[in-house]
Amino acid sequence: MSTLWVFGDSYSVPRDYAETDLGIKAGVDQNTYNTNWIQEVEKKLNINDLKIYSNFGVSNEWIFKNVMEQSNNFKPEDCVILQLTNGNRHWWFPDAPAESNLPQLVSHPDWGKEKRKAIDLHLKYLQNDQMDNLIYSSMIYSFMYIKLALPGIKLLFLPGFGKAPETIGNLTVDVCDKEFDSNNTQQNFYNKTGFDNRLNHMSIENHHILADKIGDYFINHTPVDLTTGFKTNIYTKNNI
Amino acid sequence: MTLWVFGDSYSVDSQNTTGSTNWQTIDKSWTELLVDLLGVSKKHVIARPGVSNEWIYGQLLREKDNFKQDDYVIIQPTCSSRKWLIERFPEISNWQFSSLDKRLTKNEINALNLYQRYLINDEINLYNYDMVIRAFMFIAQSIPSVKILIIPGFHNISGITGSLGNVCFGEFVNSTIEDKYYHYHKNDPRINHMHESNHKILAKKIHDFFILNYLVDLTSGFESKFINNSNYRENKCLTP
Repeated sequence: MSTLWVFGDSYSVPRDYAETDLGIKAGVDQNTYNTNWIQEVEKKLNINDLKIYSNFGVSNEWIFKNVMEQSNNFKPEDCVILQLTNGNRHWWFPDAPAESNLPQLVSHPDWGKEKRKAIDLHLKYLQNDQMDNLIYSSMIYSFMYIKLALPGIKLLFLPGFGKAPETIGNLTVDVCDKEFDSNNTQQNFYNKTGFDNRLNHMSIENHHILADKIGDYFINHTPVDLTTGFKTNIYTKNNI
Repeated sequence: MTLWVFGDSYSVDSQNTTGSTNWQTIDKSWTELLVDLLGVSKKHVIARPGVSNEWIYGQLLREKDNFKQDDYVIIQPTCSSRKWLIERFPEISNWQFSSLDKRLTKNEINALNLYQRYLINDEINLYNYDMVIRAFMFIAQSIPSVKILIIPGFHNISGITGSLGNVCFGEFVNSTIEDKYYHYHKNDPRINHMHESNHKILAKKIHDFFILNYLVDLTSGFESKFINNSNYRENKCLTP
């Protein structure tokens, strides 16, 4: 009996999201996305159970909390995917872990003028990338400490934004963004769709490619290279 | 052999530290005593008052490749609530519990005040602390050729009984005197927040950890309850 554990942000929400009200509102095509990279990885591995702890817009602290809460349940031979998010995100509001991406929240309609000002001034005067990078690094080392303590588990770092040990590249720069032929196309795509209608921010072809790479990591110990082999320039000004 | 010390005001290098003019005169601080007890030829104290754990962790990352076989390394984590938000002033990380520094701009002070009102989540401070402690432990495990001690300034960690706060605050007869003392002196005149005799006791305990593998107990064996209502205004070293 082994389990595939996945911890992360919107890159790791389960395929079922496509069928939720939010997924429908976002325009995720359920026929195209009849699977996602997580389900495909599950098929490749000798796995009895799948547990996913992920959400949109969460911070690394939220991801860390879930890993810590579940780590006592990890068993030898389990496969654990730690999909890390942007180091600038933090779990600012205890009851709203999904509201961790401050630049997106300055114009939050539910928030008062003063709270928006707090965010605005934070971004202007208190954003310290050096501190965020150090917190990100300490989180990776803390996960490596868990790996030392549980040598039987197979652990993969899958960075959403920055860098992580063993894995080459990250999901944003090397997979999500490269599906567009230019920044303009990407911006126009988001303006048009309002919300990214690609499940886990990638096209279905790239879900399969990502799953192949992750399967290869767990089975053959081949490092995951996110910088090569993915479909690029899928979206152009003529087809968005 | 070298003694390396990373930390905050509990570890700063005796009277050599700037920022205060009212230091008590003592013969040797605990780090200086350790140089003698351990018989090391060099000492690197990389510590500043008021810094956060991220800064301490960053200094450790910067120096760890300079550690040589049989060096002694002491990592002294600080309070989890400290946040290094103003990049150019790592020593202004304890802004929640001290008056805001005159070197800050008006915009930075406004930003900190609003941050305090809207953006503080004590829970994430604990997760960040947990991350950094595990990261220290990972580093300690991955460099077995050096002897590493993690000795907390504020919060208990596994393997050590108590924190340096037990030594510092144990010197007062009660919390009322403690409040009066800090109000009167503003900057604590005690080098590393402890009496000269406690420097000696602490140095001996750390020596015994490194040489005899004794566990460090910071809750017993120290001089205590000698700062009282009749002597708290004294600037010189008291007689316990």
